[in-house]
Amino acid sequence: MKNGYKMQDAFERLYKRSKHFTIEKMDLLFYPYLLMDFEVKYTGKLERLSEHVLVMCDMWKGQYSMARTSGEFVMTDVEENTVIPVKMDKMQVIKDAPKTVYSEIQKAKRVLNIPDIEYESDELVYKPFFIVECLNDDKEVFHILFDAVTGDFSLLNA
Amino acid sequence: MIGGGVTEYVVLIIYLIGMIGIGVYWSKHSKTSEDYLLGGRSIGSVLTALTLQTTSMSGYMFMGGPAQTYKDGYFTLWYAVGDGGGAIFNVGILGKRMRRLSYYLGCLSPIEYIEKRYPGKATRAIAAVIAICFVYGYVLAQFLSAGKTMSALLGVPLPVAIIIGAGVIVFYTFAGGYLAVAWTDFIQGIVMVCSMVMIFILAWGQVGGLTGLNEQLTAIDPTYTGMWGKDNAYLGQWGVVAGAVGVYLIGYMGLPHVVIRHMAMESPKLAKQTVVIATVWNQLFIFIPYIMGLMGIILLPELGQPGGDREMVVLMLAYKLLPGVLAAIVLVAIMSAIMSTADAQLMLMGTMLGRDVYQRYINKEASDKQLMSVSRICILVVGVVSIIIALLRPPGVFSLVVFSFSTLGSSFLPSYVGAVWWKRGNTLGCYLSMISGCVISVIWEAAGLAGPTGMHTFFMGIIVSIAAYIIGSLIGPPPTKEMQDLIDRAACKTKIPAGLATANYKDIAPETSGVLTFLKDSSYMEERGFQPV
Amino acid sequence: MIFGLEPQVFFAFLSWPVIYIIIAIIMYFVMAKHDKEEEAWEKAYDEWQASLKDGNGQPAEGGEVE
Repeated sequence: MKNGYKMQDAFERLYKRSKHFTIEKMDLLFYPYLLMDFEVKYTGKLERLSEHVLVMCDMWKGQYSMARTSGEFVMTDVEENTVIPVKMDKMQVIKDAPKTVYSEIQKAKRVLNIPDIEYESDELVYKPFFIVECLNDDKEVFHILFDAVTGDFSLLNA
Repeated sequence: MIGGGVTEYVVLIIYLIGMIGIGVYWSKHSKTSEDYLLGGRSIGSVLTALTLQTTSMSGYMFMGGPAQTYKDGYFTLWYAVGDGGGAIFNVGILGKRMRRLSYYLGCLSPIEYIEKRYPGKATRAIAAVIAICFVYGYVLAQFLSAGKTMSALLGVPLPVAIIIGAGVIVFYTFAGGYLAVAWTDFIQGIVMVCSMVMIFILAWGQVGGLTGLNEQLTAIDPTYTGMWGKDNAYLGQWGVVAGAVGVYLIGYMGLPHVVIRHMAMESPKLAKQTVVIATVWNQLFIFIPYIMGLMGIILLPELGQPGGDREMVVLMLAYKLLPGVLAAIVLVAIMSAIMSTADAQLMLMGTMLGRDVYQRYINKEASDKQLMSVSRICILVVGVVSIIIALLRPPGVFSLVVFSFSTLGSSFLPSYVGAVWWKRGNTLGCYLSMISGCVISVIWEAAGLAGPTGMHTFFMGIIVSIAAYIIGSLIGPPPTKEMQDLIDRAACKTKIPAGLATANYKDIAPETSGVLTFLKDSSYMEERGFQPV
Repeated sequence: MIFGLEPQVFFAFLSWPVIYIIIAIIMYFVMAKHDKEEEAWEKAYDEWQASLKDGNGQPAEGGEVE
């Protein structure tokens, strides 16, 4: 996925939150997802509700989520050891994905008819994160995970 | 016999029935062991402050303290100077952090707290043996005081007085648990301070205020109002002064039955109210009794004659200055002071025997209900055995109290304080400090070394114990990272600056936990030159 | 003489109640200030812990492609 935030942006965004720490080191880490396209087909009067949906599965932990847009992707060479390996079985992930699609549709549309969910395509994508090593005022180390796509960040240890 | 009239009996009986009533009331409200042993951690600031202070102060404040000032003059107020600031140290240093850490560690007893903070096979055994032996000494001493006071005041035979006085304490502690103890302490505290203030105001008028008191004392003997005691007996003995101030200023932080009060606080935030209430209370309740001893020199000169019992100074002032019913209430106040200390220690004995001995060594799978029942039975057994010992072979009360105080304080103070203030404080330090503090105190007391060396038993014990704690902690391996993190958490100390700590991380929560496991399982951090996560 | 006592005796023994009460009041305000900071920290800590737990459970919000 294309990173909306470069390292410098991450620096600025973090320093905006506090001046009581220094960023010592920052490096990229890529998180694997399988992006799957499914066609949700209704028949009869509900045919107009048919649509394509995008489902993402975190290939390290196997956690599904829905994606609203396909986003922007770039092809780039990365160092091998900056990529979190794929731990999930791709065929199994695709096989299990319709359950998530179905439950999400049920939640969103509240229709009783069971649609046909047909697999269309998939693509393995990587989301860039920055691992940020910081020192506080007492020179103690802590780490932050910075999402280079959205600019969100989270503490890794406290 | 000072009292002994119908009024005294009626007032005392009403009071004792009231205490039993509180026990019965709270027995119906203690549903879990946490309710019974720590009042469900729901004790508010006023109750915490009063229960902390009434527990700390035994009958000594009504009897021993004033008797000492009657003997030595102003010099005895050094003890009051230490005692008056005790709450500031106790709550300020331990209060919040100990409440948090004990909660995070899931502890119900002060011994369990020591064990979880300093994990090791022998921790609980060493701590429990020391605590049970010396808290037991305290219980015994308080039962004896209760009996002796009732006997001296009402003229009832000592065995009957011990059975009634101690029996009531055992009953309400057995029935109502911690909440009964806390609420009886609260009522006892109010009775104690009101009585004390009442007599003080009347005596104040009789001696012509502070100036009148001091002028009359100087006229009798100028050394009464000097710095160094009557006849300058302690001239230049700064070591004794430092000991007298220091013992009570910091000593309470080592007493398991006192520090358990921090664990029972409803919220760590209550510590700030507690410190103010307890300090104001201390100024009223600590300085006033000592000064009343000085007033006794003027108003009750006969007590200084051979055969005069100086310990009765407060009560005799009450009978001299107050009408019958109010004087009888003072009698109740003295009983309150004794009972409020005894019930806390008895409660602690029950907690330790149930949680630290039964659940730990006899029945690890004990259910909550079983634990509560065993604690109750232990309270009953300890109470009854103490009454029997008090009846058969009564030891000296005050020597027992001072000895128990010194040994408990020296054994536990470094471990309790270090637990929340020094992350490096470890199991070896705790072992060495508990053992050396206890052994030195026992040797010092048994060999009577306090007099010849000019070093108070507590003072010697605490110095050795602190040194042992520091040395042991520096030699032994540091606590685990998890424990150090918990100590930081209890101190609300974080590596993360406030602006970052309050950032919104929810949006990348799934990835955060994923990345964290990856970083821990892989060599990414090492290879890329990061510190381990 | 202060209240019939030598000044050093008066200050050594009888000034303490006032000093202790003043210290206790100061401590009240210092502790109240700390309480506020600690409350913010505790809240943030709990949220952080909860967010990590969410991450281990059912699919959470997020992972959206932009």
